[in-house]
Amino acid sequence: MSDSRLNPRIFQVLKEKCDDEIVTEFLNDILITETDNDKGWWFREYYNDKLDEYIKKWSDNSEDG
Amino acid sequence: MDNIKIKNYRQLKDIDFDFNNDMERNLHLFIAENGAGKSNFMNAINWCLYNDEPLLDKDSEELPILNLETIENESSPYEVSVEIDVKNKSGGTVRFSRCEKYKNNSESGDLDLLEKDFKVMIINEKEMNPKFLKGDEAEKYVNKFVPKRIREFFFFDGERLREYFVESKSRKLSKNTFEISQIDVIEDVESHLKKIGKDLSKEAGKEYPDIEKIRSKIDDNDIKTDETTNNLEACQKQLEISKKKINELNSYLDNVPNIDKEREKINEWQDEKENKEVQLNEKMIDKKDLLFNYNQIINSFSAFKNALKVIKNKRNNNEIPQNISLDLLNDSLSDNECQLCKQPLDEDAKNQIEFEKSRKQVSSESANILTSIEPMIKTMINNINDFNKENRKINRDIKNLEEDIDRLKDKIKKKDKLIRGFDNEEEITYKFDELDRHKAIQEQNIGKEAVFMNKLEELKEKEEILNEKLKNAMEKKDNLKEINKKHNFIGEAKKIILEVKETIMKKVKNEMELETNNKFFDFIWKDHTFDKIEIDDSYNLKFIHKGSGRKFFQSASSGEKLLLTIAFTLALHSVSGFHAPILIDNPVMRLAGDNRENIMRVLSEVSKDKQIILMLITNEYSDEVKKVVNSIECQQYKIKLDDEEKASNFTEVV
Repeated sequence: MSDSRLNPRIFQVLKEKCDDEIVTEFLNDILITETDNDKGWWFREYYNDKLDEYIKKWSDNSEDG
Repeated sequence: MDNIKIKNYRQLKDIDFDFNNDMERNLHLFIAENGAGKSNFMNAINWCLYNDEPLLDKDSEELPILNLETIENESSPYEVSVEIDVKNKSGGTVRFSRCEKYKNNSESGDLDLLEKDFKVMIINEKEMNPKFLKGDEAEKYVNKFVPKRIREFFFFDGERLREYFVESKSRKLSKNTFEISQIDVIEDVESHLKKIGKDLSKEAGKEYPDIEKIRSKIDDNDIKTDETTNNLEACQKQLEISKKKINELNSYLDNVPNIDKEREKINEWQDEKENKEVQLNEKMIDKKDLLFNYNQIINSFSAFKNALKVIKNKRNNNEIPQNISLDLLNDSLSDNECQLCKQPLDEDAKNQIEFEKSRKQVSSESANILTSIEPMIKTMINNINDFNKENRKINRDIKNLEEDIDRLKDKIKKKDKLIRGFDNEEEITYKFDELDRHKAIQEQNIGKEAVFMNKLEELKEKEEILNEKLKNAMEKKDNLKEINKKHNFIGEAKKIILEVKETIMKKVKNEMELETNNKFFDFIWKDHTFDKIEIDDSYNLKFIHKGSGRKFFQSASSGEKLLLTIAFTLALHSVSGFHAPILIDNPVMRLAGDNRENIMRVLSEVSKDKQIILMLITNEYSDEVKKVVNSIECQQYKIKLDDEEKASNFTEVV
């Protein structure tokens, strides 16, 4: 039996497909959380929190770029 | 699986079985007579993991889940439990355990359920204390062992093999394959990102009516997309039902005549036969008339022939003159010119005419009569020739008609015999009507499916255009800088997640195809028949014939289909990362002779890397099976009912 929650293949393809490190990390975070939790009401709050967390880094990155 | 403990579950009163996984082959055979509890061993595993008993027979359905001997000999409350120990990847143990407690209801005499419990205990060597999961968490953990929806590819019934890869199951197959590859998780992320993006545009729309207008159009488009998707799914579901029904009906009606159509045919032939009989009758009348009409001439035929012969002889003997009139001879002499050829007469010709004149004048009266009737006799003989011709034609027609009638009679007789062989005529007629009905529904839905698919394409294009418009409208507003940033970020994430999904779907399908082919051709015993196995985008499995390139599935042998099931299952294990054991009930039931031995060899090979548990009925444990399993190191146990037939025991086969 496998103990890993998110299939490593998904993360691997995600890294291949996305050049933007921050978007990759954001998606990785939410993919792991989606794997661990049932579909439900929680997603809006969680996604918005994660969006706030990553948008700052993304803006900084964009401005730096 | 390391161990299974079963208490008071149906015939399995007290089982504590250790799977010996340290042998040369991880192969375990359980052999039992009918009713000894072979299928209930499989049911016990299913009950423990999924709380159901998919292989329960009708007799067992009427019995309580509790062992009968326990109910009779022990006092209430009773407990039924199954515990399965499984080794996990990190070397620890996971214990799944389900139990139910019952007590006797003294008033009704029934058993009342007191409590039920399902838990998972995870023991890892690195951690001091085991971890316990209960309720939903525990149920969810089972899906990490073997997800319920794909268990039939891990715990399957060899007898129901035909059902595994029928087309109607392919959608379920693709859905489940995607599920275990976590494509459903990606789809959840995709859908949630879409909702967050919508929330952002909704916020922007509150302040700007032009944005709200586009946003509302996107909402409308989404509603239409959902409706069309639902319609398409309903249509595809209906197509699956039709396909399944058509397959079922075709296999029922295989070699069965369509009584209605056959009757129609018989009636058609009957009409044709009657028509031919009328024609024959007419021809017979024609023949009768012909014979009647020519009767006198035919009867005088020999007299005519003789008369002609007499005339000919007399003419040869110069007893009768040439058949030329006296007037014609006189005219020729007076004109000095032949009245027949219009040539002038020379002396020899004049003398010849004079001679003929004198012969005519001196010939007897009878000779003259003979000369005058000669043309009439010739006409009569010609008439007789015509009769012969006509008579031959009528005879030919009569013969053809008689042959046609005999042929039709024979066809009618054979067809009638064929129909009479099927006494359930009403049912057959009903099945043929059903077949026609489902074919019509299928055709209708194929058309609808294409319409819905086209509509979805159009809606998708419209969505892209509207999203682009929305983005442009939002970017023009200075006040929406923060919202725009978030919106763009979500847009980027959505684009990436879609690409990830498509790539993984493609990869999973390709890997499944490759792995299935690898496993199948590793084990197939006659590789000259197959070129490869093809899995299409809808997860329909087909064999490709070597040489002709023909695609087929149903015409493959049971042994080949079982091998494909094993190959596909192994591919699923490898692609999905689920390394659960394979349990097969009645693995070689439908196989005979060499195929039994071949499949057992394949399973023996597979068991080098994977636990294989086989439940065989006594007659499956044949010489071919023994030949394979007795030559390797593996576990073989017999399941036997005790004398009272209430509890089973496991005894090792020596």
